[in-house]
Amino acid sequence: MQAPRLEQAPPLAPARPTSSGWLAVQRRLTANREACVALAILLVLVSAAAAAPLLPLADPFDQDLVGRLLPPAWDTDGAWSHPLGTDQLGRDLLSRVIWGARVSVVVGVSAVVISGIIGVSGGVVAGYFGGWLDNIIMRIADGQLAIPFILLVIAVISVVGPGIEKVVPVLGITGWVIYARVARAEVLSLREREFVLAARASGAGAARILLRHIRPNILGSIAVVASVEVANMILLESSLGFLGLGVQPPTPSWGNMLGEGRDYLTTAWWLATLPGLALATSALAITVLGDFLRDLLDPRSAVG
Amino acid sequence: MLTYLAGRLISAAVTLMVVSVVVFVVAHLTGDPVRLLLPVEASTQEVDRVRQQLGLDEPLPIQYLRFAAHAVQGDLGNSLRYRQPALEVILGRVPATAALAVAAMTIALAIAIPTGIVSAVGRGGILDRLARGLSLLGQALPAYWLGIMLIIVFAVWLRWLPAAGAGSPAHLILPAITLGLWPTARISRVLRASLLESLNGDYVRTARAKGLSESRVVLRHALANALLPAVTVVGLSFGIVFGGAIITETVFAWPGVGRLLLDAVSQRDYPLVQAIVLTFAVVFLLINLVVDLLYGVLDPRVRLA
Repeated sequence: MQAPRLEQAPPLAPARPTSSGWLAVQRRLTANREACVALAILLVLVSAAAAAPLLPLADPFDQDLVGRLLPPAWDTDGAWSHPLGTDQLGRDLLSRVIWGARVSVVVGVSAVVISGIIGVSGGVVAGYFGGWLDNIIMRIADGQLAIPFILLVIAVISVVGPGIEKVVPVLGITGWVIYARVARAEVLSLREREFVLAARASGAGAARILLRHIRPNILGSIAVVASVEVANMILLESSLGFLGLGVQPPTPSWGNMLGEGRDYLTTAWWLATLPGLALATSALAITVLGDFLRDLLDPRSAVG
Repeated sequence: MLTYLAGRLISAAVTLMVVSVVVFVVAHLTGDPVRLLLPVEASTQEVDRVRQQLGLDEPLPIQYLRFAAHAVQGDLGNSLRYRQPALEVILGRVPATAALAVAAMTIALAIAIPTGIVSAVGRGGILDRLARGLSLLGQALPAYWLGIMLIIVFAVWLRWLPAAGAGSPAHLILPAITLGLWPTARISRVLRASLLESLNGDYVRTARAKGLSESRVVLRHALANALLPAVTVVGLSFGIVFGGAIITETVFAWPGVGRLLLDAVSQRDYPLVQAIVLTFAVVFLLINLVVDLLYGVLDPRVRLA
């Protein structure tokens, strides 16, 4: 008698969204006007950031000491050669805001990727294996949560020094806790579900169960967390830049532009206002899109 | 109850220990604190002598144990810059930060509670949509940018309020609004959600069936049951407010602990940085503990055992 070959049975885990699933997403998106606008804003932002060197913009580093602190073009003293005016060194503000978007996008996305990988691995291991491993990992998480995030990041940056190549790993490594908690909670409930039990009964090893059966089922909630975290990381990076601990001048970032603009509040309001407006708009757009994503994946959480 | 409290205190102590190890290790990644203490031209012998004096020649675990033994007695080391015990320096700045945090939370509660109630009762109406829009804005806006906008409008253009510094109640207004923005948005959102849920409860239907007035149904029956999640968020917000104070104090040159931290960072005063982080952690853990204890008071169904 031939033994049944269980490992070739169709996977019991729910499959990825099918093409009709994507259609449903499209329908929901067109029905949600706010999410549409948010998506449009982000697309413009990301493409402007990506194409910055190709756009017909002034050089963001080009100083012009005669044309310093020029107001935006709509002001009577402004000129269309510098649509958003110039800064204290006569550099074109529009160009610097767009180049600053590159920093935000790069920092936000890479920090989220790093912390997502660390956090999800930690959380999955803690949840699946339990025991002392779980205890240690979650204790470290609790300990880290006992320090306000910005405080921890400032403390670490104060030691390793400022600059984008330091800020990205610091934000990435310190941001892992939320992913670990979400992943662990999901795994704890998935671990006892029939399809995991079936896989284990059929002799699948831990690695196979985690990768084949658990991973597809936690990606949704991790994606929701990650989308909100991109906004958080961008805001954090800009806070650090504002405090002089982030990306260092002359490289433009929204945070350090805000910090420099703070010294000119009485004479040149646009220096701090406009980069901040760009920052606030993108953070808002990401948050709206994150809410949309969450409601999409979990209709019960649609609380407003 | 007492066993619960003891358990919570022990777990808080363990957490604090993890925090202190992390902080200690991070602070010692910096390289050689002795080099920072002494002038650049100091001789090798002199560096060795000071290092021995400070006990920095011993293995790191031994150094940590000594640090921890001192810390539990309230001795967090000396600030390099102020040449005083770090804890004293911090305590001197606590009143300013506490005043700011309390003012911010007062503003947050005064706005968020009515907004949350109006929003939930008039679900889907104009006021609800307005409140939801504002709370979305409040959660996504970078607080320090809002602070700068407030300075431009109220201090530079209108000249109604001072732009920065401390000394009069008027100085507190702009920083408190800036710092209160996030908790306002957060609390009103959570209160709305939990109130919507409790308005669907059986006890609310019963109260309505008894013929109680709508305001009594909402305030006495629904709100009382909706407060629990809100209290959690208020507690958590307090912690966030303390963290946010670092930035707000910088924007407004407010002489609190946050400002002290940034000065300590820029002056490489590591013992002070270390002490501030630990102090923040203690405050944070205490707030969480108080919130959990409040659960039991607010909801007798929560058995603290």
